[in-house]
Amino acid sequence: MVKVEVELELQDRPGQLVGVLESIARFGGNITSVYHHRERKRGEAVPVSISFDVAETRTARMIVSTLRKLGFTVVRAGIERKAFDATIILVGHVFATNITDTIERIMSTKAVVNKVNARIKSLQEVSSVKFTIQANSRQVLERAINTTKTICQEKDLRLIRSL
Amino acid sequence: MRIAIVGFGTVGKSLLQVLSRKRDYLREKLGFNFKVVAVFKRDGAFIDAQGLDVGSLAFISDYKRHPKWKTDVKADDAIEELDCDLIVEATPTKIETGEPGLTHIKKALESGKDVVTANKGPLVMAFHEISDLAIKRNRLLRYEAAVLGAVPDAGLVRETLQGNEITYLRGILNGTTNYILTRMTFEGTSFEIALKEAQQMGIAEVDPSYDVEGIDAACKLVILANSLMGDHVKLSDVKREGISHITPEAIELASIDGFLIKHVASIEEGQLEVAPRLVEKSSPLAVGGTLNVLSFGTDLAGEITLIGRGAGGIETASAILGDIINVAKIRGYTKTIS
Repeated sequence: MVKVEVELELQDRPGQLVGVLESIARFGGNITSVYHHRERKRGEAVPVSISFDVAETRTARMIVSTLRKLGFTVVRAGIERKAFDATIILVGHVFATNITDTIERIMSTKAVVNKVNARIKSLQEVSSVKFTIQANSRQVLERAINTTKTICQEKDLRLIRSL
Repeated sequence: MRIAIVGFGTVGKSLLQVLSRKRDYLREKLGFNFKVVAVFKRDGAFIDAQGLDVGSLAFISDYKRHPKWKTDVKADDAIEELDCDLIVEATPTKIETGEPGLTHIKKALESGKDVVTANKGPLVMAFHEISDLAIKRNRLLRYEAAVLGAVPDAGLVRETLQGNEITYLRGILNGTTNYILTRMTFEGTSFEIALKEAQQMGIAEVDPSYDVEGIDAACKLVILANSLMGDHVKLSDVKREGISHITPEAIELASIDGFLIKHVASIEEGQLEVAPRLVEKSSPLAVGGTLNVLSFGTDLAGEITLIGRGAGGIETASAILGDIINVAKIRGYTKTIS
């Protein structure tokens, strides 16, 4: 799955947007949002941001070039592979064993720890900490999980990972 | 068909009950008649070549006064000479050696008897040895009851899904840990309290380590790998982690993102593992209480999920009965049914 965001300049007259949306839909794109930046309107040109999901990067590129061929002004096209993510919970002395180091080492695999959520009773007792990890490929995600396993062994933490 | 039962515990007694209850039904529906010619206990056996009264035996209190009781007759010594067609192995499981069940099964197969086992030990220790022996002696070996009790995993794969290859497998194979985690999830209690409650209800043993450390689930995983997936693995190949460190806080954190913490046994890309995992609440694995679940991928049929009772005397006896009937059909003890 690929996430695409395109910004176009459309003429402020009926039928313009429909033409764009039809082109996206014809390639199997699933439109998730359409936004008119009317505050940035210059003359008859209105900037419009459209987000959609499509199966492959190749299809995303085809859609963008088709829009250009049809005469639409594509100001910007962002194609982003949708992230592979995993949720993990660490149980143990997660803070006392340097949580910053834990996060840095997970992030050194090029994965991103983008959410941390913790339950702490007291500093003497074990804490439970949830990490959401994102990566742009399955391999990177696996590497991040393997790194986490190593860290958990070193720091005597218990790892609970999503299936 | 002449049947001998080795083991007179919960499973053995439940089987006697079920056989008594189903006798007329089996005769009328399948034309299947059977006699139980021997029931072995640790310190002796009930033996009657004419067939024991299974109904009364199931609820016997003073077994040594039973007219057919013979003290000191050991299954070990008697199996080979015994005049019977099928042996049911239902002695307690010893994981370290697989004994005494392993010897019982080998002697039964060697002396030309078909075998139905509810005992995990021999299968964990020597699955390929005894299944090869059965093939060599042209005997049948069935073990539906040994893994997941009443859940029909072995038969389903052997019969209905034949032609499929199993590509991965995940499941909750132990009812005790599933019960404990379910209580922790819905009551917010600690592991210790949930365990105590399970012990009071008779769901967990006084020494719960066999269940909560994942040994039981690992044994079942080894049997599933060897029997359903054709692997050659042993208990030490399973990476195993228990549930005693799971906190109510971890369960609550999981819940915020729509996850449950479950003790999952899995075989994926050659890796065997039993560990607490985050399972989406909408997953087919998200079953509660003492239920067991097994989900596996196949190359043709896609993913298949089975849910049911993995333990319990009558449930286990149901699986044994199914195996007995399966053997009876193959051996021609039933009338022909289309």
